[in-house]
Amino acid sequence: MTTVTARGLKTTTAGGLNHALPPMRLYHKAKELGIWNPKHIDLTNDKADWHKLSDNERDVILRLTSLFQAGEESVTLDLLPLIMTIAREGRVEEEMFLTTFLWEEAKHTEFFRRFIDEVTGAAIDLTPYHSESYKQIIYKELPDSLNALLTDPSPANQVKASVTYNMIVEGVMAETGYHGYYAMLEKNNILPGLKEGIGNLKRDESRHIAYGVYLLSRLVASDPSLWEIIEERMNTLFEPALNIVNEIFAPYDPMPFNLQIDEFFAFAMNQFQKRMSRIEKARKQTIEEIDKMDV
Amino acid sequence: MAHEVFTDAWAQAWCSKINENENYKENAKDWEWPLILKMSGTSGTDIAEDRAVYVDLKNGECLAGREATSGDMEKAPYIVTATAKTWQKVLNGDTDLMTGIMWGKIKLEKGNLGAIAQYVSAAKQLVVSAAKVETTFPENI
Repeated sequence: MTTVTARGLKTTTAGGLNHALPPMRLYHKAKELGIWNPKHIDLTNDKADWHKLSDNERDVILRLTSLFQAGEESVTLDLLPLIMTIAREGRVEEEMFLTTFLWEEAKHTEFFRRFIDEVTGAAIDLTPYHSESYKQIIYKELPDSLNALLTDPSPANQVKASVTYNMIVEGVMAETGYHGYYAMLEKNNILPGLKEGIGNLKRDESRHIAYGVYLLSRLVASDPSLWEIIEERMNTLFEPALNIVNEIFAPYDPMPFNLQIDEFFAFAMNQFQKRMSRIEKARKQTIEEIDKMDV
Repeated sequence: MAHEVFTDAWAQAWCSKINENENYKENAKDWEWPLILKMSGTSGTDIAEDRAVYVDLKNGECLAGREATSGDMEKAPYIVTATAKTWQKVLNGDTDLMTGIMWGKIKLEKGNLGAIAQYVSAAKQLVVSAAKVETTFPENI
């Protein structure tokens, strides 16, 4: 009879699951806060509002929605290599959180498509709204950096993938976009269903970004030289990320809904600085200290 | 010919390199404001006093480059400040100007972030041009 060697499955050892780990704390939050159903959001008033909007107002909403829709689909499609990498390292608590992460991205994808189908009725191809900088990040940098983990799941490649996914796509593009979009809907008192969905999305995304800050901090605490890769990656991606905002505003004069480009950049800078200084601190921290971080 | 960083001669050389940069021309067609880069002095180093250089930029061209005067400091709508070490990293290509600003390592001492962020590609090309200037740094920065 062949003897099968032990796998070292954590949940049947004396220690069991470590509920104090940041990703495990995020997992517990996700079970409480991430359970909203895109199908249950009432879009009745949104349909009525849509017909009252001007052509330019509809155009900017379709533009923003097409960017978020494709972004959510991309992050749904591209997350798996990171989950596989974490699973292969036997980090069950992190993988448990990542299952909620992927499920939430799928719901975000569903939500925007429901808005397009049921409110805008736009049976048209929305991809012409994707600008060059957007395509550089969403069509190329994101899938390339995540798929690189399939053949080389080294810490350096994990850093590149997480900076691209969590810090740039989620942390700069999505969070800033959702913040501006939500504020616009609130200020103009329109599309309440879309606003409710984006409110839910924002909460989900904040957990995803918090995981990215944890992952990058853990990697940097294990090997401080990885910090240089974070800097290098940021230097590459910041220009197209900021240009996406510029390219959203460029076609309109005046910008519908009185959207202010300065507010987008100020919010992005504030959030970005907080996160990067947290990750930078990890260069001088131990893993034990990282495992106690607030999320 | 090499020039010491953020001196009058360096600023003139930078201005010439900006005018040789086709990508800058392309990305800065609508930029029409002077800009000052400032290096904050640190006591106990070879750059104990602040240094600042001024470039007059208009529609993709550099009209003049010089060590910034007090009048320039007053009139220029944009002043970007960092330590000598940070500027060294910028000129070596290790830190991107806009990334540094967003990160807080480089300060926008004067001017509007939203306005400058709209010219992120032009800002990158200004640094590309500066990196082409043969630059020396004092030993102890």
